[in-house]
Amino acid sequence: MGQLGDNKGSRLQVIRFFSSFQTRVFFIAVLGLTPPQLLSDQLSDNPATGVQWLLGMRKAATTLNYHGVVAYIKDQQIDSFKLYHQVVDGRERERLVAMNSPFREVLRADGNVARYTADTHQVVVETKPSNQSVLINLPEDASQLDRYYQINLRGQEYVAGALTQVVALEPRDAYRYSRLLWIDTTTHLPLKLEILNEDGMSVEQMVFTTINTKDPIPPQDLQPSVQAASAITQISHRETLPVDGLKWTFASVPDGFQLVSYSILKRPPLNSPVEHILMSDGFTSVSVYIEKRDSRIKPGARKIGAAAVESVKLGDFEVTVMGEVPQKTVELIANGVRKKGDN
Amino acid sequence: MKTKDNGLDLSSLLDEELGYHESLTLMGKIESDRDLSVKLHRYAAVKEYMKSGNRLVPDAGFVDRIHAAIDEEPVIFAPRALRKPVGEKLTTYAIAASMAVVALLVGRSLTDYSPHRAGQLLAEAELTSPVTQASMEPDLRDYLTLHNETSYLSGGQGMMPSIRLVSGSVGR
Repeated sequence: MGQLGDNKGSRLQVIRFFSSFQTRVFFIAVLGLTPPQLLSDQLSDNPATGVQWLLGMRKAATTLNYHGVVAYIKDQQIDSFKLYHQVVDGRERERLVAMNSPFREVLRADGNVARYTADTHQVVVETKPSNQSVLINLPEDASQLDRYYQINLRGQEYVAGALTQVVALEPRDAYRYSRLLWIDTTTHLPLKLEILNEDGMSVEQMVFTTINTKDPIPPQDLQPSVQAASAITQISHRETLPVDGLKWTFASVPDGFQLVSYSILKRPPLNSPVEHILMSDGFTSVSVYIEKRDSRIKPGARKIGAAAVESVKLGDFEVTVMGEVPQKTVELIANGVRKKGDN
Repeated sequence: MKTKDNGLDLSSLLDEELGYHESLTLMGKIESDRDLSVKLHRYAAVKEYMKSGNRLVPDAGFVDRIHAAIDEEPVIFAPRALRKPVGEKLTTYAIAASMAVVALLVGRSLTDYSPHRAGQLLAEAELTSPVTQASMEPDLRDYLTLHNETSYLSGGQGMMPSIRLVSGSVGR
């Protein structure tokens, strides 16, 4: 991974003038937007650190008005979306709409997320914490990322006509993927995001091809294209369970991955209840599914795009672990699952 | 000079080390320049071999085409070389011997080479890859959709959460 970063760095156009001047102007401008412990750092002559860039980016993504076209590249396919983000009186409203068939749309407003897909002709409405950005979620304490990732600055490049600072998150172990972020040096929005696998190959990428932070967004662009009444509306039912109720233990989980949620999913298209345990290190998520049924998923390792999958049989149960992590990570977790009391 | 630069760029493109804008420019050139396109395929075949070790099968005209290419090479009458010191001669012989070994190894791999067959092999490899198998298992696709949804809703995922939410529904 270090070699990858070095390669990236060598081909980046480094504009040292901006790195010293613009960075300082920005951090003087956002003094009120970052945690107090960082203020003293910002006032000093030290250039902004990677964590400071991430904090500025998170703030910009949730407080600025912007709209543009986003290209999303995954599984050797390119998908294009229009993205609208508006903040009025501190309340965010976001709309993401696919530009190609099949039509898909995500609308986030007032703490709800409505997702429409034309192929199922359904609107799925879920309740979601309203402070999560459509582009990127960082843990509340971004500095905790530093425990599992080296956060390095990799020079500057132009994306969508804007000068960006490249920030690299390189894992400190072999159980996570690297991330590259291109952060606009003026607006501090993330204009490009990329996930690299253990071989340094891009497995997922998002890039703004155009972005506008100046012109107001017409109200109709923030309205859903499909009204709930004209489609089948489905409120997702997740039976969230207390962690204490977990009937399973995980003997081998890489450092930093914490249990985020434990739930039983009963909604279609899954016909039988599935226990779902979500783990995260704050930036990378891994799901564990445990289901009691006849084996329909073949045991073994495989990939679905950027996601590594490992399925194992555990007595009468089927354990499937997946996430945007190296294969060895899901394999390690899957083989460490035990039923409580069976140890 | 132009060819050499393009060759380096092609190599960088295949290694995903070429910048975004440079890649777009180069791909535009490849579309309009047949020689460059052929060169890219050649580099890709070499890379594929080095990466996977898959043996490539030559078609019947492979040797004939090599002979034809040699016949088309201009004959160059170079001036007689000056007598070289013994040490330099030994170095030259050593390099030549190494080249011969490399040629032997490459020659063995090329015995199976065919540009047409290469494409077919790649297609077959894709069809039997674990990635494609996984995409055929609807239960796994549902799991992935749930993974993306839950990660997004719980705030546990770092990048592109809501785009994953809708991109995952394609093909369901």
